[in-house]
Amino acid sequence: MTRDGSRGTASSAEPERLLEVTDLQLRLNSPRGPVYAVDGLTLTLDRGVTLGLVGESGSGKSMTCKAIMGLISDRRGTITGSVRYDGTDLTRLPLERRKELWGTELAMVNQDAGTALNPVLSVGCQLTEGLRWHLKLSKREARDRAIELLTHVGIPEPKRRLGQYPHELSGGMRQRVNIAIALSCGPSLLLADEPTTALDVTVQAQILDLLADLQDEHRMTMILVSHDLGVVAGRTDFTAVMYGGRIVEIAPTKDLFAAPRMPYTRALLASMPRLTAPSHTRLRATPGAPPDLTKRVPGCRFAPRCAFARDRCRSEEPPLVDETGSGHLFSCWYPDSGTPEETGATLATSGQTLKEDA
Amino acid sequence: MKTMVLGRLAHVVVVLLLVSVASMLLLELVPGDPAYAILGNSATPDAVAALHHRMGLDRPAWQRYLEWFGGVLHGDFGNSLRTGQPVLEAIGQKLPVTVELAVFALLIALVLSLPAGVYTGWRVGRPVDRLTSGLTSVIIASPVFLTALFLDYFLAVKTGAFPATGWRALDGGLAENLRYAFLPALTLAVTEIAVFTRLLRSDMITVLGEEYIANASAKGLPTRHLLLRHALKPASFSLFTLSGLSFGRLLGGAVIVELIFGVPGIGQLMIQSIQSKDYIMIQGLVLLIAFIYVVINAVIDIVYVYLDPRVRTEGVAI
Amino acid sequence: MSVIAEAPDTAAGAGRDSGPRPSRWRTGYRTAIRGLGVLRRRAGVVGAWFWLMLIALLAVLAPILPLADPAVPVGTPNLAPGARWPEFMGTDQLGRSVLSRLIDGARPSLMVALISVGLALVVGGMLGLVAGYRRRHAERVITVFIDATLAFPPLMLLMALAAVLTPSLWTLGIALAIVFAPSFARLARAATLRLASQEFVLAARSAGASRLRVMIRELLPSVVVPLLSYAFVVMAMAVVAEGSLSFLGLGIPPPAPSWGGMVASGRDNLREAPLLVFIPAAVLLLTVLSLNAVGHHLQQRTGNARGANL
Repeated sequence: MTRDGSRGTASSAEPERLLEVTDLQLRLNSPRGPVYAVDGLTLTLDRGVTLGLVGESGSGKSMTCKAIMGLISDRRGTITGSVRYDGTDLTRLPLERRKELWGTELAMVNQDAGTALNPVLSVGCQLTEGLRWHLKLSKREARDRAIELLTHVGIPEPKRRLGQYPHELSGGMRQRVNIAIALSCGPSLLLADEPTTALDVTVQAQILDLLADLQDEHRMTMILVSHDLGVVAGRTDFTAVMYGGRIVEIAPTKDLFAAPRMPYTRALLASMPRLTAPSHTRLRATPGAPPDLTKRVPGCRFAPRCAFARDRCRSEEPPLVDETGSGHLFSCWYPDSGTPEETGATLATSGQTLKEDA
Repeated sequence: MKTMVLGRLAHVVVVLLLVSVASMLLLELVPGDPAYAILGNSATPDAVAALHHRMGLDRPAWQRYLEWFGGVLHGDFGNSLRTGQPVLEAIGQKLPVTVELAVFALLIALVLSLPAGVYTGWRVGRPVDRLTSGLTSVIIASPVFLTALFLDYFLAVKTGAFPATGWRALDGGLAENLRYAFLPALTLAVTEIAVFTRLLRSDMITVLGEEYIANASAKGLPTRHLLLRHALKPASFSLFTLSGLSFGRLLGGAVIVELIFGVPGIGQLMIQSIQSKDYIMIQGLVLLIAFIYVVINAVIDIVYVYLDPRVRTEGVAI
Repeated sequence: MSVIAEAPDTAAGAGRDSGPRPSRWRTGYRTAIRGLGVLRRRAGVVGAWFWLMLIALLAVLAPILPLADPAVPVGTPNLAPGARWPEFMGTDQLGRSVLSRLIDGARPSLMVALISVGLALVVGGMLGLVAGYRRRHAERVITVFIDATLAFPPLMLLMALAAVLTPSLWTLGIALAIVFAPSFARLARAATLRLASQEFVLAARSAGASRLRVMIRELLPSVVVPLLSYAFVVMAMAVVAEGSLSFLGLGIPPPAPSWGGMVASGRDNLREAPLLVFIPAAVLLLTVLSLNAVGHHLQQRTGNARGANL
C-alpha cells in the first residue's frame, strides 16, 4: 500500500515501510473464556501515511492499537502473529526493550483526556517525565522543551500551565496536553484512539486539524481510530473498516467512500450522519449486536446481520482480497449486493430496535 | 472552604463540651462516696466532711462543673487528689514520653507499610501478597497485650537484644533512649503496619486499574517511576488520613503498652489515677486526650483539602 | 510488570451471550467443580464456625463437665502440659488446672461479648435508624453524640468506667456497649439513608403508613441484616476488650478465671513457663480470628444479597 497523493505534502519517491502487521491475534482472558478481540489482522503502513480505522464499538479498534504497541500484559491476554516495526518484530521483544520504544517510537493518544492524565500530578510533571527519562534531558532543558511543546499544540500561557493540574484545564486543553505528551519524544508512529470522541464539535475539528498539521510537520505515521466515518473521511489516506476483530475492507479513503464493496461498509456509510447532524453522532443504524468474540463460528462474521447473506456466507469465511488490483481490499463473497440506498432502506425497515453501542 | 473550616470548628467545640460534661458525669456516677474511696472505709465523718468541702462535693453538681470548667478555660484543671500536684503539670511531665512513643511507632509503621502496601498492591495474588494478607489478619486480630508479650518474649526475654521493661529519658543519651523505646514503639507499630499495609494495598489496586496509569505506562516510563510517582501519590491520600487518626489513637491508647514495658507516659498516669480513684486527674486526662483526638481529626480534614489538588480548587468538603 | 502494562478492561464483545446454552449435565458438573473450589476457600470459615461452636458448647457445659474445679489446686504448680489426664494442659503457678480455667474463662469473654454487642446493636441500631430516617434535628443531635463518644479513646473510656463501676458481667457489658453503640448507629444510619429513598419505602409512606410504622415494618428488617453481620466483628472487639481489661486487672475479679487474667498472671514468669501465657493467648487469638472470619464472610454474603435486592 503506498501513499495516496491526495494529501498535499511532498512524498518521497521511495516509500519507506514503517509498520507491517501480519496475522495479528489478540486473545484476552476473561471469566467466560478467551475473547478474540483481534483475530487475524494484517496491515502494512508506509512512513507518513494516515490510516483511519473505523468500526462499531467492540469491533477491536482500540485493542488493535494496544496489541500493536504490545500494551497487553501476559496475565490479560496473548498476542500472536507479528508486528514488524521498522524491521523489528515487537511481539518478540522483551517488555523492557519494548518500553524503550514506547513514547520514543510509538506513542498513543487516548479517547478520554480526562482520565488519561494523572489527576494529582501537575501538567509540567507529566509532560517532562518522558523527556527526562527517554531523552535524558536536564530539569531545565525538559522544562524549556515542555513550554515549546505546549506552545506548539496551541496552548496559551504555557508557562502557567506547567504548574496546573489536569482538572484546571478544559477538555480540549487536556487533549492538547495529551497530544503534547505523546509527541514529546518524537515518535514515528502515532496511534490516536478516538482522540476527539469526548470533545464537543468545534474543539473536535481543532484537535483533528492539529493532529494533521503535526503529522505533516514531523512526517509521522498515524493510525486514527474512530467510529465516526466523518472524522476519517477528510483526514486519512487509507481507511480500514473493522468488524469482529478483523479488517473487512480497506482501501484508499476516496475509493472506499466512493465505492464501498462490503455490505457492512455500505451500511456504515448509509448510516453516516447528515451534514446537519452533529459530527460526533455515534453509528447507530446497523441492527443487531456486534458478534460475540468468545465464539468462533464458520463463515462471514457479518452474515448474521447481513441483509444479503446466502448459504456460502454462513459456511465459508471470505478472504480479504484485492479483486481488481486497485488496492481496494475487501472480504465478501457477494460484493455490491444492492445499492447503498437499498442497503440503508433494508436496514431501516428491518424492524429491529436500533441499538446504540456505547 | 471557609464555611467548611468554621463548620468543623463548631463541631469540635460542641463535641468537646459534651466530652467535658461526660467526664464530669463520671464523677457523679460513682457508687458510694469518693471520699471513702480516697480516705479508706475507716475514715472519720469529720475527715470525710473536710474532704467533701475541699473537693467541693457539698455543692450541687452543676456548680462544681461550671467552676471546674471555668478553671479549665483558664488552664487550671485542678489538683490531683492523690499527689496534690496540678493536673496540667503532671500531664506535662508524662506527655513527652507518650508523644515520643507515638511518633516513633508511626515512623516504624510508615517505613514498613509503604513498601509492603505498594508491593502487595502491585503483585496481587502472588505468594508474598497472600502471606502478607494472612499475616496482617492475624496481627489485626491480636490484642495489644498479646502482641506486646509476644515481642517481649522473643526479642527481650529470649534474645536479650532489648530491655524487657523500663525507660531511659532522652537526657541519658539518645542511643539508650531509643533502645528502651524500641520494643514499646514496635508493639504499637505492629497493628498500624497491618492496617496501613492493607489500606495502601487496596488503594494501590484501585489506582493501578486507572486509565491514567495505563497511559503513563504507554509512555515507556520505568515501573519504579509508575509505582512510586504515578500510583503512590493518589493511593496514599487515605493512608495519610488514617495515619493522622492513628497518631491520635496512639496518644490515648498506649495504656497497655506503657504498662507492660514500664514506660512512664500518659497511659501509666491514667492507670495509677484509676487505681487510686483520682477523679480530678482522670477528668483532666480524658478531656485532654479527647481534645487531641478531635483536633487531629479536624486538622486532617482541613489539611487533606490542601493535599489533593482536585479538592483544593473545587473546595469540596469531605 | 503485569499490572502496569495493561489498559483497563474493555474486552470487546464480552458480556454478550447469544450462543446455545450448555447442557444441563455440563452445568451441573461445572457447579459441582465450582462448589469444590468454594469449599476449599471456605475452609477457613467452616473452621471458624467449628471453633466458635466448640468454645460456646464447652462454656455452656462447663458446670457439668467432669473437670477439676478451676479455683482449687489439683496438683503441683507449673505442671508441664501432657503430664496428666484429664488436666492435659498442665497446671498454673498455683497448681490449678489450666484446662478447667480455660473452659471456665470462656464464659466471661463470651457473656460480656454477647451482652455488650446485644445492647449496642439494639440501642445503636435504633438511634441510627431514627437519625437516618428523620434527618434534621434528630440526626444532628445523634451525630454529635456519636462523635463525642468516639472522641473518647475506647480503652480510656472503658478504664474510666471500670474505675467507677464495680466490675461484673453486666457492668462490663454496659461499658462496652457504650463503646460499640456509635459504630452500630453509624452503620444503621448509612443503611437507612440508602433505603429511605427506595421505592418500597416511598410506596408504604404514600399508602398512608405512619413514619413509625415505616421505620419498624419496612426499614428495620433491611437495616438489621448488615448490623447482624457486623455484630460478629464487634464481638471479636468485645472479646479483645474484655481480655484487655482482665489483663489490666479491671475485669471480673479473681479467683474467677478469665483468659486475659490468665495471661496476666502467667506473665510474671514468662521466662520459666511461657506456655502459661501462650496457651490462653492462643485460645483468645483463635476465638477473635474466628469471629472476624465469620463476620467478614457474613458481611460479604449480605453485601451481595443487598446488591441484588436493591
